Amino acid sequence: MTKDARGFVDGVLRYLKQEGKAVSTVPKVQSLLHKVSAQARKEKEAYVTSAVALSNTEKQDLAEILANLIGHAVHLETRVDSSLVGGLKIQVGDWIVDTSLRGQLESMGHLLV
Amino acid sequence: MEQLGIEPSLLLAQIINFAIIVFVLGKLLYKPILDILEKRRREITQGLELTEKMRHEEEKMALKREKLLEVARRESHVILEEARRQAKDEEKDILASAHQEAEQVITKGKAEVERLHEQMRKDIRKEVVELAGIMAKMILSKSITSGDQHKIIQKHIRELKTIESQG
Repeated sequence: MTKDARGFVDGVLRYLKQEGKAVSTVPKVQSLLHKVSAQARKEKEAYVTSAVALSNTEKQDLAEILANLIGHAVHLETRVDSSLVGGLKIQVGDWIVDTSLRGQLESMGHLLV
Repeated sequence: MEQLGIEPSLLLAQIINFAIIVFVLGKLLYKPILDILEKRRREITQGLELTEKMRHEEEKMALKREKLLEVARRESHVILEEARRQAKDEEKDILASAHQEAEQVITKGKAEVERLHEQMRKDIRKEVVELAGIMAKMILSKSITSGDQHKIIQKHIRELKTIESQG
């Protein structure tokens, strides 16, 4: 990250500390991982959106993880959306895991408001 | 008597005449006049008594009137005092009511100001947060390199792997 971006992030984190929300505001991946739904377990397609194109290794790793979580192998449909800013958004049926920076910023915004 | 020139028979006749005249006058004139005088005296006495009685009556009436006036004065004083007391009570009630209403208006005003203040604070906070979000997205979009992007993705994949292996 550039110096400006780091300064901005530091400023936001200082504010969050003052407000006593630093711990709870930034969601961790674990908290975003809801229980895999019954409908998701029936799906054969997994849609993965990222801010930049995934490498083959990343795709392979994700396919493995999703297969273990869902219980069977799924076909990975990837697409790039720069508005995510960073991170990933995974959707299998009605099961969605949003670890994107945009999603995290929106969550922070909702908590702060 | 004869030497004095007085005739006894004549004197006698004159005495008899005088007696007759006195008798006649006494019967015919003197008694009615006395009766009239007596009647007049009685009338005057009655008039005086009546006048005295009227004066007494007048005094009694004056006393009665004075008493009535005194009672009326006292009653009017009591009524006036009562009216004053009621007016004061009403004045107090009106003042208390006005004071209470003013208090309510002030309280409502304060609450409204507080509500508006709170609403404004929330609105500003919301706008600041939205603006901060937009700025953060802009800054992060420009500052995160492709290498950073992959580092983030790989970090999230590692976290997912850890969770999956724990579950």
